[in-house]
Amino acid sequence: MAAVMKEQTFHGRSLEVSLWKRILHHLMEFKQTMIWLILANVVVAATDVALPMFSQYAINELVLNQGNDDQIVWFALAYLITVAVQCLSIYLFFRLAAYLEASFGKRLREKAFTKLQVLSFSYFDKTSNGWLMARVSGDISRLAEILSWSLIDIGWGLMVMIGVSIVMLSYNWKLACCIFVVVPVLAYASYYFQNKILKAHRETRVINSQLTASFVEGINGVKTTKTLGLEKDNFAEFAKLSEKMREKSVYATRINAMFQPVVYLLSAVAIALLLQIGGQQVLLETIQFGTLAMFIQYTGTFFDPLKGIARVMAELQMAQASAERVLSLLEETPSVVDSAEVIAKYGTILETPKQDVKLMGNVRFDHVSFHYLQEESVLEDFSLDVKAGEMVALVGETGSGKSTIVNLLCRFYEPISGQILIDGVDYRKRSLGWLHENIGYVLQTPTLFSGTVKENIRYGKLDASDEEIIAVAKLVNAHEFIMRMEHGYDTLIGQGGNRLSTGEKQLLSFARAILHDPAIMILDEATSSIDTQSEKMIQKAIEELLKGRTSFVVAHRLSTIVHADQIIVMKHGKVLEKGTHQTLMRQKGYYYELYTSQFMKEEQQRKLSELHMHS
Amino acid sequence: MKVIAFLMKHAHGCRRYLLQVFGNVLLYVICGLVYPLIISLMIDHVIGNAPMENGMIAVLGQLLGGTAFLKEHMWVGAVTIILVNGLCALAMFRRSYLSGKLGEHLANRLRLAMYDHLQKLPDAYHKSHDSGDLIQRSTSDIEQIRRFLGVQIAEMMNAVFMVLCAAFILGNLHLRLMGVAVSIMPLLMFIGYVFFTKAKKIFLTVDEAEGAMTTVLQENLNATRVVKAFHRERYEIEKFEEVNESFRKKLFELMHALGIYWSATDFLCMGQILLVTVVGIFMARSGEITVGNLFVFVTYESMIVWPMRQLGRILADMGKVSVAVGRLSEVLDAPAEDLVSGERNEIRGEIVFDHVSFAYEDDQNHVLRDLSFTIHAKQRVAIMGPTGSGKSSLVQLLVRMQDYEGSIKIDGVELRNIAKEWIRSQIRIVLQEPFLFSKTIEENIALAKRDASFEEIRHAARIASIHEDIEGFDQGYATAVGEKGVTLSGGQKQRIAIARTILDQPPVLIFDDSLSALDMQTDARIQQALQALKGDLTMIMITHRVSSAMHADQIIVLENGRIVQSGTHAELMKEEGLYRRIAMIQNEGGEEAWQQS
Repeated sequence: MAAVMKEQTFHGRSLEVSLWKRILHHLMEFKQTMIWLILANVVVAATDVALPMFSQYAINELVLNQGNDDQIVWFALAYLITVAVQCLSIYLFFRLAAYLEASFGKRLREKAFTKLQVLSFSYFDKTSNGWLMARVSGDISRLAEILSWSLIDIGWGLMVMIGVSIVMLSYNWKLACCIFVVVPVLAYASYYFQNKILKAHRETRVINSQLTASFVEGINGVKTTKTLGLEKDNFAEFAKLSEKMREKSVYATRINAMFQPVVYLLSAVAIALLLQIGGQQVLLETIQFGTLAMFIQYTGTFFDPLKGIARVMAELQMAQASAERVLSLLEETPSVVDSAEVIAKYGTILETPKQDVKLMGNVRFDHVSFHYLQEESVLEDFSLDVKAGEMVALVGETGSGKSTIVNLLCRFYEPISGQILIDGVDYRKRSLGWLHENIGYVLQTPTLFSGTVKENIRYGKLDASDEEIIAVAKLVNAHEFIMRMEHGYDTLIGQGGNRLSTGEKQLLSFARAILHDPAIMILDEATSSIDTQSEKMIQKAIEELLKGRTSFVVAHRLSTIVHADQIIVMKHGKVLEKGTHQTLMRQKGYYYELYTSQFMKEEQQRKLSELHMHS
Repeated sequence: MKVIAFLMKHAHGCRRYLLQVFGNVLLYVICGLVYPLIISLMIDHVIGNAPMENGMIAVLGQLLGGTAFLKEHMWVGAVTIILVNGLCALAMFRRSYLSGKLGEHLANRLRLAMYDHLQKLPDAYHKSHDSGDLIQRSTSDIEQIRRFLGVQIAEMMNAVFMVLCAAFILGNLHLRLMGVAVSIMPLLMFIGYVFFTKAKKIFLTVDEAEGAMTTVLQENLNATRVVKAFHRERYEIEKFEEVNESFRKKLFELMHALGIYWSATDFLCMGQILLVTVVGIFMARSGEITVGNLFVFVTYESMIVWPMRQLGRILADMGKVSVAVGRLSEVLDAPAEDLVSGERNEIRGEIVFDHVSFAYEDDQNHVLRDLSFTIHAKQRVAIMGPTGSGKSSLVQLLVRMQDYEGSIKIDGVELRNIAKEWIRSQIRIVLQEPFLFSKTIEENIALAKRDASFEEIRHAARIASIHEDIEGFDQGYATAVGEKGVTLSGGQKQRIAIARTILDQPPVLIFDDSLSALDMQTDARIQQALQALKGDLTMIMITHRVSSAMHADQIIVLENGRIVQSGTHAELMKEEGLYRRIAMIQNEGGEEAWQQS
């Protein structure tokens, strides 16, 4: 949220050199391209400076001094070659800059994405996906674009201006001064306008996104609008916003429309000066007319880069926020990492684990405490001993600490005090990769990827054969519905598996987890039940899922809990009750209460839906 | 044509702007072209001594006081240049500003028209149209039209006038050289048109590649837990590399194509200038034209080649405008609901269904069949029945979301003759899936009655049993809802929806299964609070719970669109039927739960 606000307010700060240095550091990977790019630019700039000299030569030598025909042929040839060289180097420049933009953008995205894979949960908890998406797609593209084209523009502009100045001064310092006189005013005007233009555009963009949001709300809430009769009020509100957009845009248009004429007028002043002073010189025959014509052309050659530089400076200033945000992502360090010794021994998280100690599945929480924020502890002095193959059900309200136990077990977070032992060894002494290779995790809301059914199941074991995939699909009773689909296992399931029903998605995520064949399985059960038919299938699949493994179930369903070896009832980060279903029911405590109020309701609903189905 | 008709319809009153733009373009072109002529005049006849043969330049010279005068006062020429350019700059500004303003005006009008129309399109229309697509039309398509009117029309006029006027003046100076000067124009335009028409496809593939990349990124971010738990970090990186690389390739391809286009046309344009220069030199040497004329030719050439190059692109883009216009018309031409016409009788709350049937437009099967029943004013009625029995459709008819067959009379007046706006303000419904606006909670409750006092709002919130939840938020009633504020649970949203619906105490109140999502205790609490309103209004409640229905004056049980049972709880419990079966199941375990409250 803070990020959103930051994005919306505009800071007219000056350029931060150190920030751009850090960005340039990343750009240096493309040193070679940069060098070629600069070379192409030098050639473009040189031809830019040379072209008006052809006019001068043509008028002075060929027309006024009646040079011979040979001279004209040579002139035309030289002119043509210069034009060809310029166009060729413009093409090269284009190609190189395009390559740089595409590749640099790609490289930054790659770095950002890799960083996102290794960052820990503490980062994702405080950073929204939308924010991250905006960084990796929008900001990076903008940076790549600006750095590839605009910075080079400055270089080109400076070269042209210096080149033109040298030529002008060497020809005629008085005429050169006619142009130089206008430069400070032009430089100031350009900078002033470019800044204002970008600022105004940014403001309209902000309102524009509000307008879009208004449309979204208007369309999604249309039924509510109708039933409450809000059409007029909504329209009035929208009209206000739309009018504001119009005003701001018209303002932006005005500023934008002013800039070009101002530059135009300034160059007219320079040209008038040239004509006045140069005209006298032509009359006195100090210079020939061709020289004057060259100077008139140079006003354009000189002013264009100046405008360009002003634009780039303003752009850089605007892009500063993007640069900052991208760097903050690239320079973020993950909080849960393997220690140096572990990495030395087993390799980093991005490599395949080097050693292969079989994980048996004995898990022990030893006086574990944990909190996300200093002030509120979520888990206090928690101890639990689970033997390989046992099933643990975690029961309790939202926020009671169930998911924290899962997070700690998966080492998404690490205990603040105490330790977690896997097969008798503190898990921080082993690599993250090893733990995750041996853990299976099935989420409440099944998360799948776009692609085929097969690819999604194979996610659990990348080198699994088709037979293995079909075998696990059969195991969880997914085979049937998969075969019913048009292309069977090769059916595309849409973004996030959207083309499947929730139940089907769940079955696929089970198949994926079983194929992974972990020693420890964690199941976060879905709260809302689906229709009775798939419900039964899912229950059977869950049995398959948990068979022969140590399992932790964040439980919502009666049938799962009843068979657990241990039920841990949590409240406010503490274990309230602990035992099997039978012992806990006999205690008539908190668990008994939960069971009767929540699970009775579920039972009832099941019966009702059956009744409706049969009626 | 379609485009013009559309613009005429929505841009009325904007024609004045268009004329002004037109005038300014003309002024700009003329001033821009006159100034090289002044330089030419100065060069040939003031600084130089060439005889004045050309009529146009002679007139110009006379206007400025004659060559003799100018020779004495050279500054007059310089000042004139500044003045002409000043006028040119002014026209340039007015041209861009007015056309931009025109574009913004039209965009504003179109936005308002779309928003208004979208709100008034019937519920059925929204159900059958993808909201993302409607939003796209309301934003991108309008933007396309705005750009066309705001920028491209002026640019087009500019290019065309510039070429025409320049050709005219040049033809006046030297006809053959003029022919040389414009020889490349058609080719330039044609190349631009062809290239940008073809380039659309490349643009599309770039968009697609970017979309594919965004999808992988988004899925990865949504699946952080899965990725980590399966130790698939490296696999994900490889997957991303693939789409990232493909996007890079496509982007490079596009820009490379653009690079070829720009540099090739650059070559054409500069080649054209070169051609004019060289041919002009020969002519100047032979005395066919003056040095000043040569200067005019070269200067004009560089003034017309670049806008011409742009023209091809604009023509290629015009296709997009007509597509955008078509997409907007499609929505704007769809018939909207008539909210205002009809009777506005006083409503006490008597509702009589007389052989009412209903089917969705594109469906043969009737959802409701031949329903007849009477609800007396101030009665409390419960409607029960399995999913798909038509309960929801029945109440949708009452608020006129759909048309019906048969007759429904509200206090004796046929429902379809009553103004929709009026009936919806009198019969209020709490929807199954309520929508909250991104405003504060207070504003959300006071939606239908903006002048409600804070006391009234709190009172409604208490009845809906949401007051305490709201007080628990950091900013209480001023807490914002949605993206920028708190995330509310489904039950909380539901209760806010109840509060806002009962706020202005409508004569008829409908709950479309709004309470079943709540837990039994809350449901019971709200039921109790609603008891206080009893006798003030007619209340129709769709419910699954016998505990909610049992206190109603009348219970209607629907099955497959027909009434299978109706009566009071006591009566229905005596009959063999669906109601009693449901009641018995719910009694089994639920009893203790709702008796606790």
